[in-house]
Amino acid sequence: MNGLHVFLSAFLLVFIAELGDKTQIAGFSLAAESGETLSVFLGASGALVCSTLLAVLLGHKLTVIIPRRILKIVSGALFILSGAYMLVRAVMKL
Amino acid sequence: MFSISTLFTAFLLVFVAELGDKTQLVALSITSTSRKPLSVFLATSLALVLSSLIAVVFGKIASGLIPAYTRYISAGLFIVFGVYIIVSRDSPKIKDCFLEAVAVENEIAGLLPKIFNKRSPAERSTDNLCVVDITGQDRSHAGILKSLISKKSLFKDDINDYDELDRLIEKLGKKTNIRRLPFRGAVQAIIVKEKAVIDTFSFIHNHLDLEHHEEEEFQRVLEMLIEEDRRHIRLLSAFLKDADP
Repeated sequence: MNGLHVFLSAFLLVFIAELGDKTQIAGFSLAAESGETLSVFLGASGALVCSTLLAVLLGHKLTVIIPRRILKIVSGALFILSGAYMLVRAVMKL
Repeated sequence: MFSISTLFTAFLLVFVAELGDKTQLVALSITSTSRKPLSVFLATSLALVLSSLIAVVFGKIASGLIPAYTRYISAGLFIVFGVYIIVSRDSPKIKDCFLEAVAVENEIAGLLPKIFNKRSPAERSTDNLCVVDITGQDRSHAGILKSLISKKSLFKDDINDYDELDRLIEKLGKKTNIRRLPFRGAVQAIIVKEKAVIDTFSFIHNHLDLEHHEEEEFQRVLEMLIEEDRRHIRLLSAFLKDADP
């Protein structure tokens, strides 16, 4: 496979896989809730680029270093905590 | 428009959520099959940046339309996703193992002729048949694996031992610069790769239950692949015995 072919297939695969995915909905919700388009865009895309870099550099070593089960629990807990925080702020009209 | 705390929240949430996620797995499997990490990194990053751009633009539009409810909806969505992430099953890992195995079989087929080119012309003429034999078989293994991957029904019930599967995938993906090694080292490295493939096939073979007819056939195919790769190791080991230490 040449470079362009790899580039295009990676781009399309990831782009389609990400449409409607949880991180896109998280970006959508954060932007809607805070109205701070620029910070959410920079934060979310920065995080995505970093995680891709890790994937390309570390490969499957990542899930050997940090077990998948723990990653899932931490990530789920972060989502629940942010949701609860948003809910509290919405109820208290902050 | 801009606040450091929102930026940080977005970063942390998205970063942790993406670790080990399917997008990362896609990036991984393309990197390992194509061996072009820079292209994969650039393309994946661009796709992700675009997808977050779409997300925030629509988020901004939505916040203007339904200001009273957006905050409740967002909060609810976050909690639902949190619960979903914790209780959801992982993506099928056997498939990832197979993708790695395809890459390794192709890699061996590509490297073997180059390794044997290092031998003297006299030796090469006798090696040739054996190299063609192994290369051809490994290429057809890659093809067989690809056709197995496309059979969705085989991956319905996945193996639950994710830690072991992760270890197998790591072993398969281990990078050694075989091309730079001298003949002996290169052949040894190829043997290590063949062994990793055999371990993967044996693991999957031993952990499938034999209820469906389709799985019986699947097991027979795996047994054949294991058998042939074992023969490759025997052939390659024979070369090591003959070659000067």
